[in-house]
Amino acid sequence: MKVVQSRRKQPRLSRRALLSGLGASAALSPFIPLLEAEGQEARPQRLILWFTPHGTVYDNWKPSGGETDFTLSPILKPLEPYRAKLNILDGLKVNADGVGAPHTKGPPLLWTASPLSNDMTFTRADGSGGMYFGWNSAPSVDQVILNELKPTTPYKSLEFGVRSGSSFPGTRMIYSGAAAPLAPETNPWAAFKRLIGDIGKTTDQLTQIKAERTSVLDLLGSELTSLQGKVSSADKQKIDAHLAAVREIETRLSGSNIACQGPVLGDEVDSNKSSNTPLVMDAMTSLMAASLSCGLTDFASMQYRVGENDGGYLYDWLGITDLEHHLMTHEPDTNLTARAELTKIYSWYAEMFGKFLGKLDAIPEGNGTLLDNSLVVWGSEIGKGNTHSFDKVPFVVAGGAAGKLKTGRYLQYAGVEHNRLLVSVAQLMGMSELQSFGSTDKNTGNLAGFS
Amino acid sequence: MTAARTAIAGLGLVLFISCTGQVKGGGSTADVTTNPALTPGAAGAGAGGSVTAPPGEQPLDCSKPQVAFSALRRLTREQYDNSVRDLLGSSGQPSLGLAADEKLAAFFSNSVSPVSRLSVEQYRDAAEALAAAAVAEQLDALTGCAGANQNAACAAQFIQAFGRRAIRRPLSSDEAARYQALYDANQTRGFAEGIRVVLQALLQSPNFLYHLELTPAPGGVGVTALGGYEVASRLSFALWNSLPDAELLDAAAAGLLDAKDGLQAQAERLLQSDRAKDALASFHVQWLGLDALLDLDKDPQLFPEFSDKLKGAMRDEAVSFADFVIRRGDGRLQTLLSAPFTLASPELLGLYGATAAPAADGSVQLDPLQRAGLLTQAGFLAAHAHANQTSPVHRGLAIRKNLLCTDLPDPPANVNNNPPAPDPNATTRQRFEQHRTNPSCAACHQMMDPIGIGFENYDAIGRYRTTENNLPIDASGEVLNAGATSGTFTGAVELAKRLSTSPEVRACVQKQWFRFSLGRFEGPEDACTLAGLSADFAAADFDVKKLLLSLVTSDAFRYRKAEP
Repeated sequence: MKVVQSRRKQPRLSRRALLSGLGASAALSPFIPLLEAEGQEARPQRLILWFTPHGTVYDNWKPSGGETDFTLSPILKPLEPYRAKLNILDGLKVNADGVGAPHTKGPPLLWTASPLSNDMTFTRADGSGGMYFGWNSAPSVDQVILNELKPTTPYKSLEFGVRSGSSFPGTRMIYSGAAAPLAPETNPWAAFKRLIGDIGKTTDQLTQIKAERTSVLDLLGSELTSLQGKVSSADKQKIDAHLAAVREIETRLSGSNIACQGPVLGDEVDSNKSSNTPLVMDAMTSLMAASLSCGLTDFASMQYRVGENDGGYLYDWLGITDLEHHLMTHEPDTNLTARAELTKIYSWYAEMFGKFLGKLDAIPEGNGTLLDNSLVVWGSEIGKGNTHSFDKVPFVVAGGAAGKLKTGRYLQYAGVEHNRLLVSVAQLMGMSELQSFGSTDKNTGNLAGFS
Repeated sequence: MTAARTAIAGLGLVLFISCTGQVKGGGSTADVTTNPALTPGAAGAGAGGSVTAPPGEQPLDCSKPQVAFSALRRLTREQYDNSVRDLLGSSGQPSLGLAADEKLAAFFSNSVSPVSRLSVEQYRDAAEALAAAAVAEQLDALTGCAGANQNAACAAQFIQAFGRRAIRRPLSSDEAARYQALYDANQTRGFAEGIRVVLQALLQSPNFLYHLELTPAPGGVGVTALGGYEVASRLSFALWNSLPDAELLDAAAAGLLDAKDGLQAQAERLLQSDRAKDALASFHVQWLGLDALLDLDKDPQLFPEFSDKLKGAMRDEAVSFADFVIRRGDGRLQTLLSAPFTLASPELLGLYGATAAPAADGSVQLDPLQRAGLLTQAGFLAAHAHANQTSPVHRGLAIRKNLLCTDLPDPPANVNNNPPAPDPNATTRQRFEQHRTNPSCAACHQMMDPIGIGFENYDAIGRYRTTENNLPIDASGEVLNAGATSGTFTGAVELAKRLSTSPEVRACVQKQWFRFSLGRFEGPEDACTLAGLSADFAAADFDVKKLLLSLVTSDAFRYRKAEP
């Protein structure tokens, strides 16, 4: 019963037709409220934040031509099928003043546009010279938006990652608040089981699981509540966060069942192994697309690798086995071999991004596709490796935000802070009043010419 | 505290500026590393004395307990696995399904950021799977009841007994009643079902997942003694990296851990148990930076033998050797860092070219001119090297950070701090010459490269070599700005021997064990404890086992600072 057909081979049907036509192969999860209300066709737009590390090779990334008659660069070439649905944003910069090394502060800065806290969380008190820094000082844009919009989806947001490292500023980009990183799920098979893994269970079984989980959560809630009064105020924040997560799960449980089609992930492989990366990425993006189309969430993110120095990490599936990616980015521009190999890596990034866009674009929704109703924002933690420059950070936005955003454009800027892009994103997602985002620049307004 | 932090920040800045070649203001790298006020443990004070305070602060009065704040921590993934194993007798790594741990300096501790929404669901998934398997496979053993005795009375007894192990203290009557109600609600489908759901809840309980220390301080705030069960828990997680056994909980119940001698007796028992190997393994793997080893790739053209199996063998070697020296050998730091023997798999012995037969205790003698303790083992050498070449910088940095506790500022952002590409006509030393000749590089790299270059007799997977590209290797190096450890040396064996008796390394190792055991950085109020550790470590001829006993009976370990 678990096996369902690949979405891409489905004939194009409306979402309702798809769901009602699943019959015996439908996944019935008790943990997801019924979203498919009678007569409802339009879906809310989604926001997906997409990260790949270590900037790009700018000359090979930059498209040529004008706003609408542009030609994609060697690196962005794999996005050709979705050219009409893109906004390629050239010349945005990240204001990176503040504590932390570039690869460390880059991932937190990317979506928060706020610096790391200037505290001693991650360093020693022995004064031997190490620069110190703490967790990030503010939430990321997706979390700010969803806190404002209060989506009724089962999951406020879902964080996905591929080889996303241990928990440390250089490896965490999504924050629900100051010093509150949200860990990404890095094993697609585990995530599948959790999110849509109750396929094939009978109604009685589901009812029982639901009752059982409810009673356990009730107990955990009591325990956490009783702890709130017994710990220090600093520790209470941790208990509060845990309790909030328990309450969220309870809310999901109290919803109705939903029919939903799961993706086919293929056999499980070790998600931590470098050479499995393409397989794991493919499985994870299939799951992401399914999570969005099933209405599990409207906010998702993909963190591929880490900003922190990824020593020992090779692109063996691209035939690059001599030098780690991070080190390769340090090579001077005159090292043509390194540039060629880096271009290959960044082009593979675009290929992965394109495959994900393809999955979203294959899901019909209303008069268009899920991609058309989404905003997929791709960025990196720096612009250029050998200078660690935060200028010309490569940003690509895909999807039309349900018709609110013009697409098929190549937009050039002369060093505009990326805060403006995040303001645009928030506005497009429904926070129309918002005029500034993050604390790294004092200007206001959205990204001129973009939204 | 604020004054101390400001002073430290200033010094950090001096070093950073000096690295870019623009030294301004009073201060040099030498000032930083020789300032005794900034080197806890070196300040020197016996019990009852006082220790040097940071500028502008009163000296600490060590005659009464002093301790810095310990933030609430969640179990690390290793602690979760070990605890589940000890509770359920199961094997495997259920924590593979949990989000990665938060890391502070060298060690995972989960002490700063709150739990992620994802983690809470992952805990549930793991608990459901573990509970289902435990009940299906070993219900009788788990509950101690069989057949008709599997009834409500047995369940009540199970909740008390198993619950006490899982949450490391007896359940309050309210708590027991909650689990009893959970059992009652689910036993309608049978005894096993009731037990399964109780298990599921216990494994998700905050009392299981967090290191909770709730004994109230008199007056609500200030330095206060931990309760007996809290001491038991700290002790077993420090020495076993897992939860207490029944005997330790009984000792806590009897009040035996309230006094130092009772605590010491239990600590000695725990160290004698083979379960202590788990904690020693965890410490050494993280301290030496071997945690990344299993995910590390090398250029398969150059190092086809660098297989998963060999990587595992490298990690195991460090773990087995450390356990052998500390628990079954003389325990001395000097031996850990200079012994010419090891315990390693045949593959690894092959890499070492070892030919001696193993002794009765399993140890194998290596060429003493080539190998000396942990730092010349393949794991450390491979973990701190690149995919296609060695790394004098990374090896030197690891010695600086993890062995000497001197952290360096980040490199300037705009330099190519890359290793020069391998050159078939040059040695690594020649290729790194620029770090020495370019003054803007040298200011910082002199702290690392001259140490790391001493390891040039070992390639990127730790194999011994005397030539590189058919050119003879010059492994002469120098330790700069490191007090008594400073000076020239030739080769890693000589360096390892120097480090093995270095006062700076000894002080650093104390600090590392402090951080590992307590899951936090040392604070200013811990200076008395660190001074005491220093004295005890010296008196014990730098026996690490004795250091651990001193640590677990220290004020920082037995007390906590209650904050509002």
